[in-house]
Amino acid sequence: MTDTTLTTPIVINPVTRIEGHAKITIHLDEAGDVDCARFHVVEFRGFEKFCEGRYFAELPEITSRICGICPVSHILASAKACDTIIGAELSDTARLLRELMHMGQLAQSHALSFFHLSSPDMLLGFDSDPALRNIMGVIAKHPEIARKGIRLRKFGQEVIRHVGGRRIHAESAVPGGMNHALTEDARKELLAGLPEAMETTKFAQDLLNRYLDENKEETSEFASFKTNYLALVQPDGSLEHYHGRLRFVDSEGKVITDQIRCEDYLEFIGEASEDWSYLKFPYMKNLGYPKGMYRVGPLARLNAINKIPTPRANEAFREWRQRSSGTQSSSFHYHAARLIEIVYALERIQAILDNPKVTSLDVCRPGRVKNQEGIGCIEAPRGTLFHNYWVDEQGRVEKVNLIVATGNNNMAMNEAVTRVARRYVKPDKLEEGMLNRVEAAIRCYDPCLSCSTHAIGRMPMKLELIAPGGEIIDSLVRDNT
Amino acid sequence: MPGESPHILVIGYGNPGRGDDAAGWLVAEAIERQWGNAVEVQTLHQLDVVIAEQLSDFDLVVFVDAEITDAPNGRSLARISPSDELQDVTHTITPQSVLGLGRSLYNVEPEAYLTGVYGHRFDFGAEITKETARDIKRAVSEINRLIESKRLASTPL
Repeated sequence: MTDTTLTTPIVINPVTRIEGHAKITIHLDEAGDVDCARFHVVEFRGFEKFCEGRYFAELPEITSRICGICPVSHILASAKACDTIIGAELSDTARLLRELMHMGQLAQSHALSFFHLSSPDMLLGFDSDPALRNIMGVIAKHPEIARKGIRLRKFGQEVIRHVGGRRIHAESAVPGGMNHALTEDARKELLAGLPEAMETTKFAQDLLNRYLDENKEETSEFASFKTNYLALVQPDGSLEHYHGRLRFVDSEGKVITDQIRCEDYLEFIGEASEDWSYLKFPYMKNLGYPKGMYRVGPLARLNAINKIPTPRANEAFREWRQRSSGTQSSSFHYHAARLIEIVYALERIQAILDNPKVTSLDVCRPGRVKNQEGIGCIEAPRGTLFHNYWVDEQGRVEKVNLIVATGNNNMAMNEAVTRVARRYVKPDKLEEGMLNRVEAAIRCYDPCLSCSTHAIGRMPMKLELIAPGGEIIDSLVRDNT
Repeated sequence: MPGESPHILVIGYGNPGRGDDAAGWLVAEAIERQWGNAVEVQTLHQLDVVIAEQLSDFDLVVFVDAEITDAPNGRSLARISPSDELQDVTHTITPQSVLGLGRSLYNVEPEAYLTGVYGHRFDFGAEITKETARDIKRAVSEINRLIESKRLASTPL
C-alpha cells in the first residue's frame, strides 16, 4: 500500500545566499527513501554566442561583465587566453601585477563567503530560526565579527582597485600585460593594510577550528563523499592559482594525471548535458560520465597539492591535513580551505609588494595575432576556470568555450545535496533544519550561477520533494528578493 | 554642518553589458559630468556589504538601478529607510539592507534615496531601449534637483 503522504510533492525553492537562479528536487524511491537529489539551474543566456564576431582583444573587458561576483577571475583568464593568441611573453612586472590582483580577488571573495554567507551556520547553529540565521543575526550577537569581515573584504577590494583601476571590476589586464602600473603610494598603502587583514584571518581560523572541534562528527561527515579533484599546481606540486599545470588526484590524494598543459584540457575533460539543468556537467573523460566526477575550488586545491609555498599558509595546511588525517572529503571543509587560502593570498600580496619590480613601468608588450586559438586557465576563488577562444587571422572571434568553477563542481553539488538529503530528509515532510542543511551543502561550494549560466539576477531557491511517480509531495520556498 | 557642502554619494549599479541594465551606470555618469568632484559617484556591478562602511562619510546617498517594472516611467526618486529585515545575503544586497548594515554596525544613517529606471531588455550586448533612455533623463533630472536642493539648504544666507 502506498503511503498517501508520498503522493503529494515536496519543493525547496530558494537556496539562499548563492548567486543566480536554481531549484533543488529530492526524489524518493518506492520505499520512501531518498533516491537522489538534483540541483537544477533553470536559466540560461548564451554568453559564448554573444562573444562571436568580436575582436579578441575586447574579450577581457567583455567577459569580465559576465557577472559581478568574480570579474577579476574572468578578466585574468581571458587576458591569458589573449596572450596566447598574440604569442606574448609577459614582463615580470605584468606577471606580478596580475597575480597581485588575483590574490586580492581571492581574499575578498573568500572573506564574503566565510564571514557573511557561511558564518551564520557556525555562529548561530543549523537549527536556529532561519529568520535570524543570517548576517543580521550575526550582527545582533557578534557585531565585531561582521565588521572584521567587511574590513577584510574591503582590503582585498583595495588591492583590486589599486591594480585593476576599479574596486570590483578590474579593467587593467589586457593582451600582453597590464594597461597601467602600480604607484609607490598605492604599494605603501596596501602594505599598511596587511597586518590587520592577517590578524582577522587568524581570528576566523580560530573561530572555525573551535567549531570543527566542537562539531567533529557533523563537520567531518557533512556532505562527505569520495571524488577526484582537479587543480592547477606548480611543477613540484605546490599550490598555484595563476600559472602552473593541471593535476587530477583521486579521493585519497593520489595523483592520477599530473602536469597537464592547460591547452590540453579538452583531452581530459568532457561536458555532459542533462535535460533538467542548463548548467553542463564536466567530467573526467578517462572515467566517463557520470563516473568521472571531480571537484574544484579551495577544498580540491588543498586535496591536490603537496604543500603551500608560503610559510604561514603551509603551516595551517599541515595542521589541517593532520586534523583530517590526509585529504578531506567533507564539503564543510571548503570553509577551512578558504581561510587557509586567504592566509596564502595575504602572504603572496606581501611578497609581491616587497618585490622592487612591482612598480616598474614595463607592464605591457602588445602584439598581433600569431595563433588562432588561445586558452587561459586559472584557479578562480571557486575553482578552475577555462577560457578558450578560436579566432580568424584578423583576430575576429569564431568560437568561445568557457568552463567555470561552478560548472566543474556541478556533479559534486548534486552529490552533496543527495548525501545531505539522504541523511536529513524525512519522506513525509520537509523541516527547517533539513532545509538549512541542504542550503548549507550548496553554500560550501559558494556557487556563482550568474557566472556559470551567465544568467541575470538573484537566485531564489525552490526545493521539491518528488514521489516515484513524479508528483510533488512537499515544497519549500525561500524567496528573499 | 551649516555652510559646509553636503557630502553626497551617488551609486549606479547594474551590468553595463546587458542592455537596459546599464541604466544605473549611465545615470551615475551623467551626474558625475554635471557635478564633478562635488559629488562622489560610484558605478558597481552590484551592491556590496563594504558600502555600509563608507556611509559614515556621506550626508546623502542616492542609489540608482534598472528595474523590471510595468511602469514605463520608472520609479521616481523616493526616500528609503534602513532595513533590519534582511533575510539573507546572497552575493548581492539591497540598498535598504546596505543602510541597515550601516546603522547596525557603524551607527550611521545618512539620508538615502532610490530610483528605479524602467528597463525591459537585458540581453548581453543589447542596446539601451528608447523607453529606458527616456527614463534615464527623468532619473538624472530628479537627482540633479535633489542635489541642488541639498546644496542650497546648506548655503549660508
